[in-house]
Amino acid sequence: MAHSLAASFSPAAARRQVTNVISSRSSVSFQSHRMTSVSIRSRPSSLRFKICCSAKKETVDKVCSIVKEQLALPDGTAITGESKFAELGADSLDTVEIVMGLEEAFNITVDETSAQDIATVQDAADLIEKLMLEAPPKVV
Amino acid sequence: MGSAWANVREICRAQRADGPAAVLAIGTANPANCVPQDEFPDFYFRATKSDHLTGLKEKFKRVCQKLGVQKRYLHHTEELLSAHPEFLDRSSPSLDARLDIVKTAVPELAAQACRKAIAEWGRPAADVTHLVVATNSGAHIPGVDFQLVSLLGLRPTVRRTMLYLNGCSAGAAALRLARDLAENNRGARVLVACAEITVLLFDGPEEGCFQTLVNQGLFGDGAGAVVVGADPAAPAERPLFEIVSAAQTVIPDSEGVITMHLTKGGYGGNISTRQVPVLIGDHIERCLTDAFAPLGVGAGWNDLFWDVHPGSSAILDQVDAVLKLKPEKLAASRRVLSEYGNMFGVTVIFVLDELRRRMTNGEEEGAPAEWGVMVAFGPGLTVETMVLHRSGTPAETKLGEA
Repeated sequence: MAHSLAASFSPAAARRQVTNVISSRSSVSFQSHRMTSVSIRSRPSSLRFKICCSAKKETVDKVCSIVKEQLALPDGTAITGESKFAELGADSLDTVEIVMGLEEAFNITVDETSAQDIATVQDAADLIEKLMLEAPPKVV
Repeated sequence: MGSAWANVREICRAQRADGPAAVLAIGTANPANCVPQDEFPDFYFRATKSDHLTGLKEKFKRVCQKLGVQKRYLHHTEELLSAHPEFLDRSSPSLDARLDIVKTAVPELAAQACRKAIAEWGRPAADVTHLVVATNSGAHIPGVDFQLVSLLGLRPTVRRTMLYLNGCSAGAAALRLARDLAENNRGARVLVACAEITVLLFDGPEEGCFQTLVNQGLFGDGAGAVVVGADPAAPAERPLFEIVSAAQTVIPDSEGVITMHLTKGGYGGNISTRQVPVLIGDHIERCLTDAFAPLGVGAGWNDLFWDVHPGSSAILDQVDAVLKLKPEKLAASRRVLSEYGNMFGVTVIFVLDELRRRMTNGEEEGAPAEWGVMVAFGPGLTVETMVLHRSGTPAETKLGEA
């Protein structure tokens, strides 16, 4: 468990943090501690979300590349995980097209409810990795 | 020699009209089959036997909701599609069958619109001196123009111009030609007819192909007709709009953003839903400045009435944003897109009809505009601009004197 969690982290800071926790406790204790912590007091949701779900850099980069192409953005336009589709000039029709492009590129299927929650590149990348973990890749 | 030359000049001058060409009448028509947009996804996936593609259908529903279209009129009913299973099989040749359908359906639809325009104009069809026809729906010889001569009872000597496969700006281009013909031929009465039946575009949905979803959800069938003539013969003829100037230009480096060609399965090609609005946004103000500056019309963009081809809501949004138009300025364009979809070149005629309806009924928001502009976009990217003047307003006298 600890090993797979560590493997899925890309940001170095997050990895160091997890490593510190692991080095001071056994894996069983780690699990117990985390659950206790959650039940006793609320951890800031953004922090918890980030630790649990942040997508790999390569996924974010690939999403950025697809978005840039589909929105026909000029070279030199800066796109990061925090970029909002609306601020890149995408209307809701463009977002449908982007989601279809991502489905094709990552060989996944995005349901409508999830698609409508996507507002940033990071949202898209996170959802993609979640879907890739949940279901085996479609075989052509 | 000088004398002979002077005579030729006099002869040529006498052949030209005195005043500007004017829109004398407008007619529109649509197929009987009306398709509400919220019912179209069910129709489309059922007719194409694609109900198993549930995820794609959900996306199509969202595409349909976002296109700015509430309903359309389509010649292709479920019965027609059932009779042509080859339309759904991309590997099966279907061009001949599609062309056979539009060969009669397009002239008939065009004739319906023409009859309305001629009736409103009030003179006999035999008084039409020139005919300009534009359609993307088909490629026949003799063309739709030839068929309209007998369908409408036009005189055999009517001078015909047929424009096939000119894209969405063809309607404005046809009006530009009509204006040139009317002003260069004294007494000319030019009938413009545009008609589209999009069965040539019909295709089944394809996983991962966003373009097909847009095409199937956006385009509609319809026909528009306009009678154009200079020096109206009062009181029988009543001008609606004077056509003060007309121009066409190509936006640089844009030849790939809208393409269309005949394939064995109907139309192939591409429309870049992202690049088209951006290019239009980048260039439209220059096109408009070029059109208005020589006329000395001191009007701001919000002082005009607007007939913008509603190719998509994204295009209208871009025009709005760049020119800082008030919401009511493109209301006629948005209403036509909502009620009929994008009917290629026909659409600007519907918008013009909607504009005069609002003017006649006193439904304009804000101060009534005396001057206006028609703008249409097509393959190239080609931009057609036409400066219009509402008839019966102060500048008319000045134009007459000029």
